[in-house]
Amino acid sequence: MNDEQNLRDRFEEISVPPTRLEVDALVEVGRRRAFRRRSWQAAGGVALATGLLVAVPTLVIGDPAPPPPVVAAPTTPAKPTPPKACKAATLRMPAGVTGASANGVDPSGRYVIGHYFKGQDFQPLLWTDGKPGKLPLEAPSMQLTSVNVNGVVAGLAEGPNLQYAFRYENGRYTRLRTPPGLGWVYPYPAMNAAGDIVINAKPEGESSGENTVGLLYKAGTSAPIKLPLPANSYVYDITDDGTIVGALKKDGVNKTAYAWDRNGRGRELKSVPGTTSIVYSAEGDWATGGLWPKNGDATPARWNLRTGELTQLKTGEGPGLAVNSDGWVLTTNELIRDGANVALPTPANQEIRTQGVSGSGLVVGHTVTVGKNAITGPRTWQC
Amino acid sequence: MRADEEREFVEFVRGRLPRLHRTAYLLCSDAHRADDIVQTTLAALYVSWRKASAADNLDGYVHRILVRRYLDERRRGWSRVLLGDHPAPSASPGADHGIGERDALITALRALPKGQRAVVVLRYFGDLTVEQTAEALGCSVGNVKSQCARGLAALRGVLVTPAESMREQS
Repeated sequence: MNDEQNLRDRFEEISVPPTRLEVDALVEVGRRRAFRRRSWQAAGGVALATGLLVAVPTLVIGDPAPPPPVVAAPTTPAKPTPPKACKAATLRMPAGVTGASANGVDPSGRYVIGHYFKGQDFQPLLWTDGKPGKLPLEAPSMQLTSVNVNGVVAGLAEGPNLQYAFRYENGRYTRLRTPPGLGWVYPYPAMNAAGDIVINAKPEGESSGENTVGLLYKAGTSAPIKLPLPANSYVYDITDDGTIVGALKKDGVNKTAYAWDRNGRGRELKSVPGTTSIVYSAEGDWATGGLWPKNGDATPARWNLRTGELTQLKTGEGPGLAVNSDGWVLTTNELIRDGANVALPTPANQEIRTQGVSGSGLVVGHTVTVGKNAITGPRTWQC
Repeated sequence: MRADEEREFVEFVRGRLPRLHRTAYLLCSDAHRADDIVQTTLAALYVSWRKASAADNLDGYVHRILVRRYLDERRRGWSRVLLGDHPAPSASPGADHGIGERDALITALRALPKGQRAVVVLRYFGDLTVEQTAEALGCSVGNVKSQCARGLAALRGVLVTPAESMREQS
């Protein structure tokens, strides 16, 4: 048998885990995407962060609305002064670099991590007080995923037959070791102010994740500590007081937002009946993530880790991916402050991808051309 | 989209979903990411269905979107957005090969550069011609041929069957 036919046969024989996708849900996702595109066009290409998405349907569907009744203006107490608008800026790039993205910011707003791209490989960048710098490469792809107030960076290195988490501190990389038989780390390392790092690890080649273990690397060390968490725990972030947030798989596949202390004492965070919940990020008293209805897109959620209060942020789209110490929540393209979307000024014909928010109110991310996803540059919004 | 167009779309997706998911899995070696890639591919297809369904080679068109989503996916962080990183149910061993051998091919695929992996998967699993593969990847026919040859050479070690291996040793 020749190699080509042999490969064809082997591809057919590979046992692939079943898809979770359902046709009806896919159609619904397509409808929503088509609707968003029409709405964007109807809004003249203005960024949707101001809530235009919600307003458009009444303008374009159905009979013209009757004029509003004329009523006397109610007397209302004086409104509080609205917060200042966000000020957009472009991050400088090192000489010769184009198409870079900003992917995170430390709580003080001093350090920003990001990348430019070589093919599909992440080439690491670190901005300090707005000044850009290229970090050295130890693998073809060095993806930076977290930075703390001391400028210590955590990330994920990848290359052919190579994948590991690392810490970058004082100008050098430290490879974070994994326990025997748990060689695949995912999804990304997260770090707190002290420099403690958490990530999940599973046996290489296992796609189900059923043997996942949460790992902790204490500041300055490369030896893994297996977190004493129950089976089916997934860790996503660690706060400065050592609280670890993530999700616990229950009933086979559904996940519930969870928080643990380092001794493994866990508590289920509030959720909404009928939804799956995950916490992705936490800072201070606040945590954010998403609530997934069955067969639907996520809505962002915010938890107060001290009181346990859950706020479902219905204004946003997709889960919350970052939160700051004041409880501001970022989704992939929105900032939600005090329960309302905050306008992030965006150049014409571009869309934003928000990635991080500091305690000082600095939002970082990048912009892409509409419909093409070509990165047009790293940006910040001081809010 | 009109109702009749949506019915055509649903019919197309019902017929292709398992195969597209399998293609995405072979590309990325991860069931969750494969679902993400397929979902974004089909959402994009829904939006452009009228134009796409009139294309001469609809499957080639869909593969082109799928490969681009695969290549772009890491940059965008969508995996968290769409499915919440749900782990898929465990895989069962293949009919003729155990998990070890299955993983050997998946591991070998993962070691290939992304573009080369895409060429190999589209050619030998998607059954696209050299020309269709070149069109899907936006590269030259010559490039597809050379990447195919390199990919096959790199995978040869895990393609040898136990019987062939014994013959070679004896």
